[in-house]
Amino acid sequence: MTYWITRFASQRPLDEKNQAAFVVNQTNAAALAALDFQEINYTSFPNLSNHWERRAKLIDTLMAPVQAGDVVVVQFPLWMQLNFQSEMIEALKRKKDVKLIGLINAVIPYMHAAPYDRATDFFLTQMRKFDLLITANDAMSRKLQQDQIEVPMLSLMFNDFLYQGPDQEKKFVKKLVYVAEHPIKDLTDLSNLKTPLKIYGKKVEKLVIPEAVTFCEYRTFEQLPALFDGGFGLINAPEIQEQSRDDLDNYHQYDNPFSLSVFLAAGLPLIVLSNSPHAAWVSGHGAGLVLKDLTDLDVTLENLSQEDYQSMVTAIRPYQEAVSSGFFIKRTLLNAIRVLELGYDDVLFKDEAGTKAASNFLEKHLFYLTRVENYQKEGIWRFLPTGQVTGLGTENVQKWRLQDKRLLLLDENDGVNAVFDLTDLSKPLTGRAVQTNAAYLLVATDLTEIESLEIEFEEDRRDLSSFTAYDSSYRETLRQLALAGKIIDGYFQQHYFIVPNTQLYFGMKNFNNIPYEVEKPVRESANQVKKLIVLFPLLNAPLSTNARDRLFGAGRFASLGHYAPENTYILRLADNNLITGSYLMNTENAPDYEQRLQDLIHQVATDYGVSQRHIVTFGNSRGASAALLHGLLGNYPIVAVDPVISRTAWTNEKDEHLMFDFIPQDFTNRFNHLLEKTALPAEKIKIFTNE
Amino acid sequence: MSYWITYITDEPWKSKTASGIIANQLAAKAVIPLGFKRLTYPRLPVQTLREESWSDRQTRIEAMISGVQAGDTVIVQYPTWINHLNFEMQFFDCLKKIPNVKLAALVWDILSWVQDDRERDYKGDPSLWLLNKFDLVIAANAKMARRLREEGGVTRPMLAMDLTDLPYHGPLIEKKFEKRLYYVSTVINPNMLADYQAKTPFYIIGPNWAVKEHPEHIHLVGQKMSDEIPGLFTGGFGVVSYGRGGTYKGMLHYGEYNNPMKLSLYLASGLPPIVLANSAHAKWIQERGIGLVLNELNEIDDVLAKLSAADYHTMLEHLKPWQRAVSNGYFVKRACLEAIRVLNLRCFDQLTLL
Repeated sequence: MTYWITRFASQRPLDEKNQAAFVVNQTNAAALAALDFQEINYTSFPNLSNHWERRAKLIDTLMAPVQAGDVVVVQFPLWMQLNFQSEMIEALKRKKDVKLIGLINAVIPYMHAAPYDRATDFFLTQMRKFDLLITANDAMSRKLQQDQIEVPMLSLMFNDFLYQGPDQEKKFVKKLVYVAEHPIKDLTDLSNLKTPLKIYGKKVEKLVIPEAVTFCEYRTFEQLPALFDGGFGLINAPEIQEQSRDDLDNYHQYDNPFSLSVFLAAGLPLIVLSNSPHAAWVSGHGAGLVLKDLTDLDVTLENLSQEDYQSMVTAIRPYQEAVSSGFFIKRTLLNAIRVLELGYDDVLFKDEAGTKAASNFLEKHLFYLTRVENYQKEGIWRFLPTGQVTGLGTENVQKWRLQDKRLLLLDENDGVNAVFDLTDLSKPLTGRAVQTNAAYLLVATDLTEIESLEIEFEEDRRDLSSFTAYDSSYRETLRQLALAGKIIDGYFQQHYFIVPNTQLYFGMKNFNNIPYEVEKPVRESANQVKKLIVLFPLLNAPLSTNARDRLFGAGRFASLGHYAPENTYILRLADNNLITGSYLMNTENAPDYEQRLQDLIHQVATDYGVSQRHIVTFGNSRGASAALLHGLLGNYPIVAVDPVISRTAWTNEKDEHLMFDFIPQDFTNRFNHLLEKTALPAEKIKIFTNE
Repeated sequence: MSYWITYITDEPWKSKTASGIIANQLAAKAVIPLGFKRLTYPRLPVQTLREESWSDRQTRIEAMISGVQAGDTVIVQYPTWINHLNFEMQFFDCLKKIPNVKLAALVWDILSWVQDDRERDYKGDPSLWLLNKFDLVIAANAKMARRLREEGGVTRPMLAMDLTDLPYHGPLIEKKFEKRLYYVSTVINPNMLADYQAKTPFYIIGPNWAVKEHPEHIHLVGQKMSDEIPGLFTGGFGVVSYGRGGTYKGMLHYGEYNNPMKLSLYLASGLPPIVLANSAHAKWIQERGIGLVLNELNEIDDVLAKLSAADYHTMLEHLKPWQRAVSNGYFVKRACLEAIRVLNLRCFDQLTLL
């Protein structure tokens, strides 16, 4: 039984001292010698493409010493020709009873700006072949789990940097050092920086160097720790642009920057940005400063005292010792053995932030973006596994990302546009727009497709009047949608959102697909019986694109409770049939609508202990017609103010209420018929009218 | 900033036979490759210490800890096996006085509980309250950690070591499916043999002072050097149990909580262990299928009657990673690195008890 680790050797010895990928690789292999790991050495063999026999022979030879029962740590990626990489992993997998650990030194798809398909991406697919993954840190583990890598994971936390050379006493000097892995190509954003910044690394020829910045070239990384005599090690800031084909600004949210290890090995206090995976550690352990960006750097340093700085130096010392002696890789591999060989799971990365559950939830549903203020739907969104947001109303939001228990919605430049809380996925997600601070909800639906009606620009009036003309084909389309139980709720740039009636969300309770609210008594008395006013909705916003306004009314007599007697409950319900309601009457598509409304009234009365004798129906205009109808149907006393008896005023020239021919133009016959049969005495039916 | 682990030196015979001394020395040797330094001290005779003054002891301690500097981390193997309370206290206090030094106790045994199983308050016993002088306590296992907290009054943060290592790389015999038991003992307890009513052959290794007659299926193999024992096992099972009325009065109850050296010896030898159901190790041995868990040893005939050769070989396979781990000092290595993570790096997420 042997423990193995792959080691990537360069053809040029200097590479192994001044290229981060090599140094990390060599460090891991060297540190693990203390745990009796043996190396599988390989180099960038030539002539691999189109020579599968050569590849097979090389791999066979390299892997020959690995025996059944062995554990192999593959440092990943191999930095090799891709076929060679996949064939080598396959060869190891074919070996009997060999356990494979992937030590993830870099995640290539995260380094590129281009979207990737998590299901088919070459590197992510390869990662799924391991028995265990060791990732850079928890942020990377979380991201990989979000990308549906189901392999158990351990997080390394820091890359070690074996260093036993000299270091200088750290002095409180207001200066920065930066270690560049690639030539610096742009420092424009640092033109106002006052704090001296020394960059160790190269620069492009035509770089404009700000006044505060100086350059110093280095030959090997191991020279660096001895050079730092104070100040702060600056880790990855977008203001310092390195010449790389990779999207490093994005990647730095997940990786362990090599410069971090160098600074730690030198015992130098750090400055990291707040999106760094190490930000919580830096602030929690007092190992340096965490900044949102470099804008306030000069001021922040200005306020720093000698004592502050010395406490940072002290806080970082144990980490200096740990990183320099290979603590992190050794400790993590001991825990890897604990998991793989001894069967424990107590040290595994646990997704305490619920990232995996949250991303599954987000990707599984379509969401309404709903403004809390008025329940206006401003978007129907789909969260793609690639990190993109698609759908309607995505003008300012193109990408999504999870951070802790929050959903970040980003614009095309990765600026955070809105933030939503992911603590409770059983409820609509609450969040706010960063710019306006407006409160929003993301409401998960059961929709499978995003449906909308697009109106020609010239004909679009940005409300439902776009549909009311009798000769409009759009009106007929709407009629068919109404018959199919669908409704318009929401609008974005000529698109009217089509939503099944069953998926409406008004932030209310729901009974048999009828949204409603119950207001408890403003005043209570032990001596009074409980009473219930059923308030039917006005139709005062029939053309609004906001279904809540159309079906529930834009105003809902909010002060009614103050006028009502003690112990009076108020039931407010929506007329959520058809496009703008149906005067709460049955229609062809909803033949049981009246009965469901009656059941709702009965249920609410039961829930709150109100006797049937103490219910009154009340409404104005459309609400009055409904109060009359449902009072007569349920034998409840009625107060109807200006009931609509005939709809012709709204149907003469246009179909302004968009109820089509689903309900009668005139309700006289229906009401007379009910009045003839009612057992209610006349004094229990109060109708107020101004004509 | 150095990492230290205490290391006791004793006369060569004790270093080969006394389990406490062996465990101490093996643990220290195991963590040297991780960058630990040995804080070596002699096992001073109690008689000598009794005759010495406070300042004499102080001078001895000054010599022992002279290499430790401010900010260092010291893992003290506990007990120190210097059976003199004043000396131990003084030793720990001197270490604590070094500025910013961090102290962890790697607890092998709680002598009060080894020697006493009466129901009483143990919180005032030196072997327990001394542990509160440490910044961190590494308990034998999670069950022991809970007992230390609940019955022993140990309030310090705790890690669990899980198992005692027993580095062994000598010869081994390939194990056969044999219906036989082995038991390794410091001194053979006659009660254990008297209580053994099963018929499965029982091989007992250890010095025999008291047993004169015994049934034929009980075989007294005699005392062996610790490093020759693994090479004796041909198959069957290794018994982890403590007979009633042994040399140490509390051992029967203590055996429900400790990390028995004999368990590690069987694992290092590739011999499936038998533990009792009340042992701290019963659960994982059952779950991982590396041995047998019995309510009492006399069940063994019935259990073995139902066991096939294939079952036994599966156990041997499952046991291999544990064999490799205890043989390579895995558990003490991990415990020491986790201790550094807690004490120096201030990461508390893996503590067994906060």
